[in-house]
Order: sequence, then C-alpha cells, then structure tokens
Amino acid sequence: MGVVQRQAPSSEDDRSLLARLAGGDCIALETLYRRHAPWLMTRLDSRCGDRELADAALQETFLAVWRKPTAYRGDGDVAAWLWGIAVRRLIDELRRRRVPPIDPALITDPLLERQDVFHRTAPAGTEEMALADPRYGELGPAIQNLAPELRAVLIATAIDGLSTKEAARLLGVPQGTVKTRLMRARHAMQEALA
Amino acid sequence: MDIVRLEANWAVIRAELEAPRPRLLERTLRRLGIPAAATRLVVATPALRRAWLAAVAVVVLLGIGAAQPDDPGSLWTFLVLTPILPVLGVALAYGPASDPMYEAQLATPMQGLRLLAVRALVVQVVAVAVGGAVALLTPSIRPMALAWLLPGLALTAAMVAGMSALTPRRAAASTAVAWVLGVVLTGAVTSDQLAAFAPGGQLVMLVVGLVAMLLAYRRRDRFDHLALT
Repeated sequence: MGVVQRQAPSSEDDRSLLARLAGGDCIALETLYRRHAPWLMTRLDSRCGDRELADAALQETFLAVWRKPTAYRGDGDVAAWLWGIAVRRLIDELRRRRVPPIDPALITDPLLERQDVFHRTAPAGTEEMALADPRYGELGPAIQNLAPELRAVLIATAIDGLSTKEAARLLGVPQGTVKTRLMRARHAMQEALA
Repeated sequence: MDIVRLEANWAVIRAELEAPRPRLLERTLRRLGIPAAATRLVVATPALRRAWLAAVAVVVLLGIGAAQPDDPGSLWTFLVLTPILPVLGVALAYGPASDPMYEAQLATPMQGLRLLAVRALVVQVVAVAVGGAVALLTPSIRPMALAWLLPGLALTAAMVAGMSALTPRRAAASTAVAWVLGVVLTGAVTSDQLAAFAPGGQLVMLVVGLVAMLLAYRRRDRFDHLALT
C-alpha cells in the first residue's frame, strides 16, 4: 500500500456522524475512524517520529471524541477539529512519558513534501487549503527551505494552530524561544517570497 | 499506509469502549496514583463497601454521642470505640462469611497478606478521615480528638497479625476485648480513666502496632490459607 486511500466518500458527512456519536452510536465512531485515522496517523508520525507515541495519541483522540462528541462547536471543519485534539494529545503523551523531543529537522508535514498525496487524503483546514493551493505554490517550498528549528515552529503554530505555549511543549524549548524563532521564520518567509 | 497498524489502533480503541468505565471512586483512587489492580480490588468487593458504610455510620453516631458536654463518659466511649471500628471493618470485609469474592481470591496469585493489607488500609483511611472530621467538629472532645489514631492503627495491625492464626471474626473479637480490657485496667491502676491515651499509653500502642506488623510480615505465608470457618 503505497498511497493513502481515503475511504470512498461516505454518504454521511462528519457532522451528522458526530450527532450520531452523541447518541452513543459505536458504528459512527468506526466510520469516523476509517475516514480520518489514516491521515491523522501520518501526520502524528510526522510530528514526533515515535510511532508508539503517535499510536497512543491517535487512540486517545478517538476516545476523547467518543466521550465528548459535543465538544465540537459546529464551527469550522471537523477534520481541523480532530487534528486540534490529536496534536494536543500528542503533547500530553510527550509530557507524560518524558520522552525527549525530537530533532526539529525531522519535523515536517506530509503536505509540504507531497502535496498531491496530502491533498487527496486529508480533508484540509484553511491553512492547508492555502498551502496546497497552486496559486500559493511557492509557499510550501519556502517553508521547506527554512532552517529546521524555524520550520518546526512555523508548522506547530501556523499549521497545527498551537499557541506558543503548546508549541514550546511539543518542541521542548522555552516559550520565549518559540516566539523569537517564529519572528525569525516570518522574516525569512517574507524574504523568500518577496 | 500501514493498514495493520490502523487496525491495531482501532482494536485498542474498541476494547476501551467495551470495557466498563471505572466508577468515580475508582477513577479518583487511580488519579491519586494507586495501581489499577488495587483500585479494582477495592471497588469489586461489595462486602468492603458495606463495611465502610457501617464504619462511617457508627463513627458519626459516636461523634454525636460524644458531643454531650455534661457527660464525662461520652469522651471515654468515643476514644475506646473509635479505634476498634477499623478492626471490625476489616473483619467484615474479609473472610468467606461475608465476601462473595473469597473463593476467587484464594485462586489468585496475589499474596494473601498484601490483599488483606490493601483492604485494611482502605477501611482505616476511611475511618480515620471520618472519625477525624467528626472529632475536630465536636468542641467538647477536640483536645483529645486525635488520641485514638495511633491505637486505631495498632489495633488493626494486631488484628491482621491475629488473622494468621484465627478466623477473621475471632481475631477481631480478641483484639477488641484485649483493647477494652487494657484501657479499663490501665484506668483502674492509674485512677485516670483516660490514662491509656496519655503519651505513655500512645508509646505502648506504637510498639504494639510495630510488633504486630512485623509478626504479620513474618507469618505472611499463613495468609494464603486462612481458616475457612
């Protein structure tokens, strides 16, 4: 299996699945899992480089959805909401197991490497749409060309939507460092895209 | 994409969904860092829960009884009876007569003494918490409010040690009788009703408790074959 195959588009959309979940429907959770777990797993892998950790975060994500499907407020994409949960579970797992954060050089986003694959597999949030849009074709390579530690910070904040505090936890650096790196990343991006 | 891995993760989620959700008590205990095996044991035992309720009810009633400032005997009653409650709680929580899990436990690899100790500890903690709260909230007994803590621990330890040779109920009864006799005799000899709770008496109870724990530990193999009747 080379390329992620997204399940054939189900007749039921994510929101109504969540509504069924709220009624305790186990099948709805499975449908949601089949649809979203593949890209969530790929992306979690790309953020931590430890498969065991990514697995734990993935499991916790769907358990959290099962326990509280009503946490979805109905604004924005369900996929983006799921990723928000998943990346925070990953941070929790990192802290709980006290694993040293990985080398920022290894942090990447599938989107930045193979836009075609990611575009087909991941229901995209606004940022991903922007990045995957051919009109912004230079954005992806520009991020890829950043220094690793700057790229990691940019991915954590701009793509994952983490606060600087959460990004600091994910990357294992002080919050101030995240802020300075973010600023430097912005300058570098401005220059690259000028 | 790793289908095997996706399926394995789904299997874990699925198992978690199907497992009964731990009740509030169990989750609280786990959050306090108590191992899952011990928390399950605590909540899986209806006999233990009944024992708690009984202990709590009696302590509350005693506390109310002891709150009569005109009656000097009420403090004595409170101090003598409160340390025995955990002992009775453990006796009720253990043994074939009251525990539907008893047979199952004999077949488990968990050591008998450890099992008994976990339960004794749970009953003790509840009794100490409730008894302490009642004592501190009752002005007339406040100066002596905590004088029963050490005797309570010592008596539970003594009873556990006694269970290496006797049935739970006999061990509890002997411990209780020995305690009441000890307090009464000490009171008669020193002509101070509460002499057993003075620093000297506390020291004796500390020694009794430590010796009992040591004894129970040395005879730990006996707990795997407790007398059935």
